[in-house]
Amino acid sequence: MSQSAVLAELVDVELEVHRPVYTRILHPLTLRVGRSTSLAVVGPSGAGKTTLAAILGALQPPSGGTYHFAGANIADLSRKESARFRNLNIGFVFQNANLIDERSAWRNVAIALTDPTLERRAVEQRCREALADVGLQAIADREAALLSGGERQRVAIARAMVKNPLMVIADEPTGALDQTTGRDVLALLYGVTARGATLVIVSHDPYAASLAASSVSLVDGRIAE
Amino acid sequence: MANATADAYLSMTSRPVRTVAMIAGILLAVASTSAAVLIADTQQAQIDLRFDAQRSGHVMIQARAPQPQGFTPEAVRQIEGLSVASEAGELSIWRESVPVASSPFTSAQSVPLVVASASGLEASGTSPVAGARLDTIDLMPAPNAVVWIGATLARRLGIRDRLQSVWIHGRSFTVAGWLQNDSGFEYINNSVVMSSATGRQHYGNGDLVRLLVKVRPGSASAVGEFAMSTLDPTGQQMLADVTPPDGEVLRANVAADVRRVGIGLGMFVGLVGMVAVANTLSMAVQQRTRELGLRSAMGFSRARIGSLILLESAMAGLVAALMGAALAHLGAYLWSASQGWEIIINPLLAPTVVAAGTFFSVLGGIVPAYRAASVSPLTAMRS
Repeated sequence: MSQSAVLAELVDVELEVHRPVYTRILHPLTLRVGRSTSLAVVGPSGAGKTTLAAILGALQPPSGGTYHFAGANIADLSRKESARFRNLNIGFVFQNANLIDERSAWRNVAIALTDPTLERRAVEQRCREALADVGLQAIADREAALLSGGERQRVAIARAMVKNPLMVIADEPTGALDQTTGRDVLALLYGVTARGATLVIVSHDPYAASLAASSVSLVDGRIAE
Repeated sequence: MANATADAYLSMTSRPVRTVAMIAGILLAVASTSAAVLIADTQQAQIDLRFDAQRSGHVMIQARAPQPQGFTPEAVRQIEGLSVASEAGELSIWRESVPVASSPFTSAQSVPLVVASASGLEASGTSPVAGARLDTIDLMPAPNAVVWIGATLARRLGIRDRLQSVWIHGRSFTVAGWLQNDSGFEYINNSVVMSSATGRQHYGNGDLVRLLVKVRPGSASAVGEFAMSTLDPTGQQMLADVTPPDGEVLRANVAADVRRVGIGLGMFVGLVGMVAVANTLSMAVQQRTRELGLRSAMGFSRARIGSLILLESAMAGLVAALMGAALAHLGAYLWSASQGWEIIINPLLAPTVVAAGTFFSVLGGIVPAYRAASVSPLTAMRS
């Protein structure tokens, strides 16, 4: 993979925690993730998949190693800088969609548009377009609590994509869905690469992983050969 | 800011029960403070109205028609003869302001010119500090040019010796002595005082011609009525009872005490309200950990998440304070109307309590805001 094609590069990245007891969650690992492609992170429970996704998404700083994203060092960012980095570059799709139940679908999408200078109308317009991209334009005003599991996950995808991030990180995005709905959601998720984003998908589901351009398997915090 | 406000507004309106719980404390605090102060002010005005006459130790009768001869000595003696009255005599403010100087060449001071009898001065509690006795004021043959001056004025003019002269309107008067009053007629300390004959001789009719009667507390109203009918049975002199409210300092202190009780009560309830805001917001932060973690994961900075909670507490405080102030004014108005009182409203009260209510609400939101800002973005991934 040429250097220009690399979006994220982790070199000897590791994660240790000292409380409540010393635990090494990730052993030093090196990983390159390309631009506009997809990477599946697979492995058994407790292997460190979600931790790796959290480091890639700058939710968790590594305790060792270097992490470069689009050429910039991410590992040493302050909490404020990390927030800004996530705001500009990363979209997240979580297993349970993580919607605010009392708000409408489009207002849930609007949570991702944190730029305070954006006008309300522009925000709403962009959110409705993002929902249209996932086929939910008709229920943009419906309260999230009234949406089905599949619809909620599609709203989450719209929320992840509304700011046109360089990377979308999906952590077990189909874990709570039935097979048919899950496959619809996966189709949408993998579609983000066509719009220039890189998809990192963490999943137990072999089918979900099989759709990825590449995959990495973790076992006990190490990349399995 | 508009987006943040809209965000906070949405958070509040989407969880109305929690919002009501949050604003209840501040609303109660503002309402109770405002109502207590409003009712205290109104009630104090009523107390003043009803008790002024009864509380006074003096009766003051003022003639609205010119009095070239003064009050009839016979009538004054009849008033003095009442068992509840003691001294009675003239204590008129002949001119509100006359120029007085210690020499023709020094600058003059503008002071009141008082015309009084010895009994009038005694009734007011005025005593001589130096010079001639008070009763000599009634013995001054007309024409004369003799005056007494208040002790403060004597100091201001630099007069230290009796029989020194002062110049009033450029005319020389001999100072017979100086006077001191600490009994509610302190304006005498800074006045020129002369006899009735002297005043009428040099200045004609007086501006505020008054008879002062010292009475037993509680009898002022009755003595006032008797005095007016005795002094002017035909009503030609157009007399009016202008009895001054006695103990003005005491009255002001009582009013301030009543207000302080109201404000103290309100502050106590305000403290409870602030704790309620802090408690409700803390619970809300606990319940919203997932949402706050999500916001953090989406790129909200800690400051912005904390600001969101503070903005919510400020908005809740503002709404609660506005509602509380309106409720208090309405309640106080209805209460006053039911009592037949005219409500007294201090125009500064409403803006003050609204500002204070908002401030205390924000104060109560600080700790929850800090806790909210500390929610890790990883919460979103783990929840």
